[in-house]
Amino acid sequence: MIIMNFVPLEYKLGFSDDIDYHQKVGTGLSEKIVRQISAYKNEPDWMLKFRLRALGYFKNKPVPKWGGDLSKIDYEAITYFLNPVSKKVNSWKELPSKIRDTYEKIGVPEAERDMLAGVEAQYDSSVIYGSIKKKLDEQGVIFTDTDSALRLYPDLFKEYFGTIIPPMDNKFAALNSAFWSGGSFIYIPKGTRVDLPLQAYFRINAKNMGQFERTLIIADEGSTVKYLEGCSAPVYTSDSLHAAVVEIVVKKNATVQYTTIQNWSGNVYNLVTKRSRVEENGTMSWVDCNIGSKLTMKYPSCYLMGKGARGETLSLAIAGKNQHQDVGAKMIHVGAHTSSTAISKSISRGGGRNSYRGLVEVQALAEKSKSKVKCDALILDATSRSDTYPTIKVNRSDTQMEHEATVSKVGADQLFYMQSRGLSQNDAEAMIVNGFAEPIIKTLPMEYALEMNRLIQLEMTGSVG
Amino acid sequence: MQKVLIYNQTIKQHKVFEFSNPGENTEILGIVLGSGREHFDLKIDAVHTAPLTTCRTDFRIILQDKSSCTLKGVIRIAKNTHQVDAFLNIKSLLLSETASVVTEPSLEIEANDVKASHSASVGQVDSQQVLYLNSRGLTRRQAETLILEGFLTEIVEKIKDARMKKDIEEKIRIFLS
Amino acid sequence: MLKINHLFVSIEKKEIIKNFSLEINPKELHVLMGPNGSGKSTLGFTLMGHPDYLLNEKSKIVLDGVNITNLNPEERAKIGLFLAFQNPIAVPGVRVVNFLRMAYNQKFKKLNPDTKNSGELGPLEFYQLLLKNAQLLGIPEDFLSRNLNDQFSGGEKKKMEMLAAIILQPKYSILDEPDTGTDIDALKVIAKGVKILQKQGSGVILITHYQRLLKYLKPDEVHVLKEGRLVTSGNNNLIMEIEKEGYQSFN
Repeated sequence: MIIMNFVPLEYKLGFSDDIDYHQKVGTGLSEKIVRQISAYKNEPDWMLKFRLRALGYFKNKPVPKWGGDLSKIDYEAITYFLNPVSKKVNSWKELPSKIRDTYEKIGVPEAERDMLAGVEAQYDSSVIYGSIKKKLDEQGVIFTDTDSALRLYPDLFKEYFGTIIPPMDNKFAALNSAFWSGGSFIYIPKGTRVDLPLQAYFRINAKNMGQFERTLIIADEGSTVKYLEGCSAPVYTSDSLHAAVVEIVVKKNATVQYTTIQNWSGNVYNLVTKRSRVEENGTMSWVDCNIGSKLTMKYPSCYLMGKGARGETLSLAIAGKNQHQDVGAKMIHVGAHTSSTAISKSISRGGGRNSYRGLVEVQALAEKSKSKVKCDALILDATSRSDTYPTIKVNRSDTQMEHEATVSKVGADQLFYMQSRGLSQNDAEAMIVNGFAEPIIKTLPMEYALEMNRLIQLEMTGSVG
Repeated sequence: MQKVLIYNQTIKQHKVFEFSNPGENTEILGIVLGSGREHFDLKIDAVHTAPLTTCRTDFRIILQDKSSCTLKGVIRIAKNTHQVDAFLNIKSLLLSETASVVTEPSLEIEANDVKASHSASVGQVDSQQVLYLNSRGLTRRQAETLILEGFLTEIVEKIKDARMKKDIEEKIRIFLS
Repeated sequence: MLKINHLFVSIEKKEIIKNFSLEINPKELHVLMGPNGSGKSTLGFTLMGHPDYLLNEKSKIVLDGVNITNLNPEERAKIGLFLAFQNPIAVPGVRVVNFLRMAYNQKFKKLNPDTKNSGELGPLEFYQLLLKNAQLLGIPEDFLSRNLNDQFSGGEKKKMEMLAAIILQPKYSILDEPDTGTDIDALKVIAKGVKILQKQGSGVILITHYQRLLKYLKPDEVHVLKEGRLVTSGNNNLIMEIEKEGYQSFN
């Protein structure tokens, strides 16, 4: 969070300067709007065709009947802004008081609050940004926004874009494919190790909160990179539908870790498709924290293609009043000697609902593969709900697969023990819940971890939400 | 109360067990023995609508040749149904390259003062165990049979009805020979 | 003085403790012995305010003049009561040092702090304090970063209880079978801990099953609990009698 302070890089679109960046293109989802967007961005013809095809798929594909309740989304009411930094509120005061309060209590500095609120504030490029960018350039690392990447690295872009998640994959991937804008494009050259976690602070943070952001990460052979997006402080947005797509290519012997912390305001439908393809001896690690939104449907997946490929997902989900987190992990074992691990921790309170939805599939050629899944759910009161829907498909006789799930409440014994040491019931509960989430939180960079702990503390003592 | 389910022929079945009497304790034991081209499409629902009910469901699946099994086991605990203890375990062994299994243990929990858990595993006959038994003079076939019997014993030894137990032991013997 | 008067304790409608009374002064060491099922642990939980254990109207517990009979556990802790659990509960993901610091600060924070001293200790200061006491008890430093009672051996759990007791400086401590499941080394550590507690000023009620621990201590009074009743009290000699005759002769 401390890093999020720096908002460098004016957003550069690939079109002429006399266009108002905040121009509203239109409302509803029509071919006309897609053409306008593509035209404004000066996109090559193939991209326009790609978008139009996707629009077709979107219109033809039915809304999924499983998962959360998607019946109330009004697709025609979605407004598209040219600049994905859609103006959220005019001033700090316009933010819902609940969110302002949380910022105070978690200790978000004033400067950051404006940015989180999406208030129009122009920040100058910082010195720090400059020197980090220089280092990345020296290494040959490409880290830019997706729109720019299409312009600046067209061949590289075209080689991988849409290959991991084709537009017809699902309705919301199709939606994103038609209207995408913003997101990150990262290329790490062979054998290169990027030590600093690449964070969304390299771009205007709000760009990262675009409705239809599209991220593509390519880690070439033997490279290592960590990427982080989001923040645990609640983010207010008037956009109520977020359909992002994240594609990750992990080449031979490469390692990628992708961490997301999502805390959208309670009006948002957050429907994300995240997928990686992992080649021989590559490792893909998803760390997924879902705290906000009205409904999130997200199942980070790993297609373990190459021999010895590894996939790992750590998932933390917190659902409070009027929230439904329908999240999980998909591990598809295609190559031999592949392994996967999924650890999920969820906390339901105040009538919230958490559903873990997972898939482990071991295909015919995935010789001697292993998979381990562990889901633990805490239900804190009688009005909340927890579901677990894991699917295990094994087609080989030499597979080792283990799955375990538990649902429980905060132990009365634990509570009494801690109370007998002088902690109030609320503090004891908060400590226990934080302890429950600890295996996931400890993988986050320190500032984020501290914030998460404080956020859980606040949620538990009922001071927010 | 104990319910025993044994499947050794192609079947599609959806069984719903509802626990509506407080204090009810149920144990559901299941065995699936697949050979040839048998296919098993099973759905077992354990639904708790009364508090203070417990249910332990334990399944063992052994599939050989071209057989396959899809087992969906749901534990559902309704709102305000407190003090429930529910557990589901599915263990599968695949004996051939052409056998396949799909398991979906699910939990749908709407009450919080409960204990609910499930586990599922898929594995194969442990080659180390076979080696050990070989070294004690057993043939490979004998060793495998012993191991498979052991895999099922955990369930079989719990069967209370003596006649049923004998009947099932016979079915297992035929399957393994 | 901790005055326990006419305790009648039941759980799930079953009466476990019948008319138990005991008085203990600061620095005194009282030993409570008795056969299995006599209600020793029930006593510990009851004194600490466990919600499942119910007292009747006659029961009264007064700590240094304050009636704590109806207070909840954290309030009793704040007033100065401590219970070392026979089976300390694991709390995964919560580190020993963080937990104890929170407990410490809860207890010692002043209601009206002056500018210099709020009573609370910051992370570094507390760590030093904890480390010092851990060393006194022969507890290795890496212990303090482990998760509370998570995968601790029996002896480690018992030592941890003693460490918590010493840090919180209670006025009256109830130690529920701190010697069960420990080896000779852990036993000596626990005996040391008891002496430190007494030195700090705590009255100690030591509930035990065996005489082993008592070899290292000098009890002021010994009581026998049998089938929920206090059947006899005496001095050190009582211990030798129990060793020779068992509990049959006491009624």
